[in-house]
Amino acid sequence: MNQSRRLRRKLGSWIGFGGSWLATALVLFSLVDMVATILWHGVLSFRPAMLWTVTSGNGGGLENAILGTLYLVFLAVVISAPLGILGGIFVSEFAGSRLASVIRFCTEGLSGVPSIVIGYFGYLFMVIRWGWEFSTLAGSLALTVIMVPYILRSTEASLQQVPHALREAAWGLGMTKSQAITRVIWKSGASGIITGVLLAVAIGLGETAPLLYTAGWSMYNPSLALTHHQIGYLTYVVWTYIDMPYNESHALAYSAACVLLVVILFIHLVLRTLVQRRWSRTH
Amino acid sequence: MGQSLHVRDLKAWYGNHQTLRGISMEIPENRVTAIIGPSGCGKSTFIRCLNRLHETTPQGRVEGKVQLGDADVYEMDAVDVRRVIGMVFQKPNPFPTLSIYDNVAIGLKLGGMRDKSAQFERVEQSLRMAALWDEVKDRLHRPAVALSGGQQQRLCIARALAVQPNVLLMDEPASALDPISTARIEELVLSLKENYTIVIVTHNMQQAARVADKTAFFLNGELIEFGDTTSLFTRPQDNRTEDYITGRFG
Repeated sequence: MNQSRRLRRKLGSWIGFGGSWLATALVLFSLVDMVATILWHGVLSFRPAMLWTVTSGNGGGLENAILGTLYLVFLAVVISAPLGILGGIFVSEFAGSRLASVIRFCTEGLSGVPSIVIGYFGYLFMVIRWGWEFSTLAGSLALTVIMVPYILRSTEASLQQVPHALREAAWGLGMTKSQAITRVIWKSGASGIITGVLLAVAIGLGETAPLLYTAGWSMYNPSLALTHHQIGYLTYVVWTYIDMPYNESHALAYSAACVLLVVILFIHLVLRTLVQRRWSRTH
Repeated sequence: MGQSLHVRDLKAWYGNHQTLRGISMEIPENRVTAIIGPSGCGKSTFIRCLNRLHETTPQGRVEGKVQLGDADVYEMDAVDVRRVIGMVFQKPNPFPTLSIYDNVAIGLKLGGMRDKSAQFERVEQSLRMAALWDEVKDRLHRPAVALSGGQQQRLCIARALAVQPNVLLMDEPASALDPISTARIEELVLSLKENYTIVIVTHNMQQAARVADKTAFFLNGELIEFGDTTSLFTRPQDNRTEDYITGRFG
């Protein structure tokens, strides 16, 4: 009796253990496979000259696309970080529970909208109705719509993790709500907020669909003009050039993917160290 | 200097749940007043109503009157109230991102004290009053969270003292601490009553007997008995007080 029960438990444990291992291995395998393919093809096809030549014909370089991506994401961060952070602070600290849950519902809905829909929406409004044509500003605003919910939610979440006792300590000392936030609570949540912004940057870097409809594409380096000028970006190269029947196009597409991957991996590395430093400081 | 608190018919709710059912008492200045009673009797809610912290909890509601000296606490600005009625919480809660020095100085900075040397003087004085100065004077700019639990609690006391309040509320300030730290906090309470009116919540009756001049016994949101500590513990007037202090319940 006791014996068979012990056997059953052991068997159950092994099945559970084996299942989790298998699931982990599957996830890791597809990740490693993807990263390895991109790096392999990317490194083989990459030429340093790509960094300082622009795209031309079926190949050429990536300078226009790299600068374009940086410009688009930079503008998008400049707009979305203040919006998202202030919005997150509002939801976490000031909104009543009902208003907060309405805003939370809306941002969750917004982050659930397929990015191509956001792109098309931006096309109809900014590109057509407002007459901006395919342009940097239209592309950045489309990215902003995608990035704001991430920043808002991670800001809110990291402020919610700041213990209530700390707020009471601040209030009990005669701080107003906003003093408590700027002097005490903000600092405790800061690394979580930065994490959210960096995550949003990584997402913005990798977006394609919203930009196809709003930013257009250009083989020239971006100008500072916000409207009426199309702009190039890395994901466009990946998306378009991989489908062309030329080896040099494929080389360009893989190189673009590789550059993106390296930048995004680097951001995640920074994220990890940030998170770890925060962890080791508070524990 | 300390100021007296007059409480008239104080009622408090969390949502629909009434936790205080009309408390009236006179808390004398420059004395230690202990609030005792079993868990959930409303003693913490009571002192959180005195500095208007109760109303910051979701669905917290208060009725009745609290007077600090001649001023009506519920007609003052809540932020001003909390500057003159300081509070020390059950769990030490220093600001983790600030240094030891800044934890004490932050209230002064907010109060507009810009002069660095005056600031330093007050920080030192507050840390001395909280019996912490000698332990931290060489590492004032280290993070506050590096201190032990007992030291953190004394830091919180220094933080509250720095802004020179009239009243100091203490919500079970030693319940998370070891016996030695507890003893130090109790000594501290006794030395502070010269300059402050102290209200201390405790569910440790020996502690109340050791530090308090007056003791109030709360039960189910009502004030059952309030009097000099010695007479309350030796000749309780109410049966429920007697049952509680002799350990028949609670």
